[in-house]
Amino acid sequence: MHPRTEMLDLVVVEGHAKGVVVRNLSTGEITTHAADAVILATGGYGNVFYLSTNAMGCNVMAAFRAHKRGAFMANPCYTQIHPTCIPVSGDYQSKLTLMSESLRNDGRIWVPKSAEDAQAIREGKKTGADIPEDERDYYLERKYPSFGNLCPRDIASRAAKECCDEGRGVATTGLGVFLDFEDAIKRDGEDAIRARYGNLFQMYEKIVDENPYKRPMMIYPAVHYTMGGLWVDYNLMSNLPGLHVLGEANFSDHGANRLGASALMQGLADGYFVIPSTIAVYLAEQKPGAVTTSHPEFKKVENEVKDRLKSLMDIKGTKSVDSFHRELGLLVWDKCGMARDRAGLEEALERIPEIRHEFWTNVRIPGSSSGLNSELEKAGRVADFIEFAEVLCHDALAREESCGGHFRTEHQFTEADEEVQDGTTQTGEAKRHDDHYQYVAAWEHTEPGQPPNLHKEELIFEEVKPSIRSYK
Amino acid sequence: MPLLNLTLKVWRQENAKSEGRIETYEAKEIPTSASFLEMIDIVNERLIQDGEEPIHFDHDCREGICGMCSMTINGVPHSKERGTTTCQLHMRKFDDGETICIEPFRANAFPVVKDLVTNRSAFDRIIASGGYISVRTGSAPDAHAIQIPKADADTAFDAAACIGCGACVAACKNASAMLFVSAKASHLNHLPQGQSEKDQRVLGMVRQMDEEGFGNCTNQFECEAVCPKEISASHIAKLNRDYLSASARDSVS
Repeated sequence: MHPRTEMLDLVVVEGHAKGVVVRNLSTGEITTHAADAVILATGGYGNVFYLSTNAMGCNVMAAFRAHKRGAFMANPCYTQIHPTCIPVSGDYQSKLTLMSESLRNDGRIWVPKSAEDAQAIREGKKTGADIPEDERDYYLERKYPSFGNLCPRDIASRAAKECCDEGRGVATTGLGVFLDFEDAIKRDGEDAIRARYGNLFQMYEKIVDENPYKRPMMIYPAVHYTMGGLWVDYNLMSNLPGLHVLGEANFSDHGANRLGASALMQGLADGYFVIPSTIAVYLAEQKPGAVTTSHPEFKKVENEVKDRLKSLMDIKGTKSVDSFHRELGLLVWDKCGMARDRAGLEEALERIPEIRHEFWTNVRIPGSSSGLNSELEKAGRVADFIEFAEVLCHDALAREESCGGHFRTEHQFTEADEEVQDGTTQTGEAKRHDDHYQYVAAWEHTEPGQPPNLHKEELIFEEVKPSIRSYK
Repeated sequence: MPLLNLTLKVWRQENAKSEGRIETYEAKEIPTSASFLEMIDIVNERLIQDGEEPIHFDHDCREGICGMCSMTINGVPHSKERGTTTCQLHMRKFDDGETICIEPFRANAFPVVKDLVTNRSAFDRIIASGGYISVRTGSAPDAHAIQIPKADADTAFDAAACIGCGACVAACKNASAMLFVSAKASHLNHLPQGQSEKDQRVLGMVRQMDEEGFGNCTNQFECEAVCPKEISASHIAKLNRDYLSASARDSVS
């Protein structure tokens, strides 16, 4: 075990992934490690948005280092925004907390019908209880009568955003909707609800300081999971031979929109059942121990890693790493969050290089690179998030359709569409363009600062044909 | 939103070998809805602006499940709030003008790495000496292949709630790790899958615990009082019983 050890680069020997360069976070020591194959199980890139339900340490560094060494980054624009998170309370906020999806089994989601009532709630002049039943808009039940509060995550999230955009949000920031257990408590009793969700209600009360048994919870969507990731084949090997990628770090399994509980399933499947068998396919063609750290490539990559750390330490600018991360996160959330459009994405693609430039000339990292230095750790991760954000926005810009976790406002159903007129779907729903975009977008790194190269893996559906989703 | 002005007395220590000291910082205009760790973020942002090194502390999930955060706040690991990790503590629990003392978890087996960060790898080594079940990888067994009585499953689940933060050690005057070790052993020992390795588990984990320099349990129950997951000290009694029978079998085998 190597606790407090971070992978800072991948070593590629004659086109094969054969090792890693790591930093001991406690001592600052840089070491190289050779292997017959490399497995990355390094998680998703949700923290590119700064605020997410991910842990603070989650980052894209290992995957992005591999990307810069040749591994393709697939479908990064598929990001999942989870509908049931505790709303943001202030600009000091460091992370968002997920309230389990299971709450939607018994909770009813609503906002006031009128923006005036919503404003009164935001200003503390009214509470949810003051709004009579016929003045409440149970918008998911209204729009999706057969699925109601249990409709899929992307739909529930976008519907919440729409209500808040209309000025009907109820949290102090205006970005929040009610998740109300009043009816469930009346029906089943408080004890039954406590037995089902007691730990979640307790968690909510700790954070928000309100009793959700008495007052409706407030929730708002937040970044939760990233379906995109490094491209892998059926053996979980990337296009870079020897590099295997497992779990959220890869792009496989979830398509454009992950369903509930399947992240755990993927972790177990990839780790327990798939890779123990499939890695043998690669290993069978390798001579065990053929590459050692004495290969010159290890020293070369080690020196590159050391140079990068030194450049970061030498900047000695004026702004903290977190301030760059927050700025980047807010930009990506605004332009490439729940709803995206061409103008916004182009704006982001202009702004991100500016942030990158400012970061590399004006970030301030106190302390030294020997020993524990949390600012230096974060700086390396944020530097990669900034570059990764460009790949993310390029992917979102190139995918001229709405699909799962990627919603382009230009591509939604309107009254003019046949599918709306015949009742298959309704206005405002995501519109795919399968004739042009039925492919995995696998991006290849080119030069620093240059757009990535697109490779397409066509998706062929033989048994089940994609159709238009309908939750009416 | 109400804002607090606080005085922090914080343990600063450059590395494991250097001598530590208490430094005083003003934490100004802290929103009451901020979490304790966000309060330190705010202070750190100002320290960085002033060209100083920020206060180092362990943290990750910030929702009470990963076990990384580890501060002793006004003398109590994770603060005096019951069933709460440091990251789940909010500033509304403090009064304007208050002075807050913040120290790392103290124990010989948890050496300070820097400031409030301690090395708790001793726990990893205890887990590696028996806190697992050996299973082969391969196809998944059917979920109902092994039936487990609800009471056993519930007890095992309560024990499994341990996040391995080490507050139990920091709170104990003997720096005993018995609540942690017993929770981890009890979790597996209550389940049918854990039976075949039960003896080697308890012997291995207890021996490793002693080797790491944790003290003995003298039934003070400080551990139970500070445990953010409110794990019962009754698991310690269970570990003692399992250890006794495992030792007896070990001595005659």
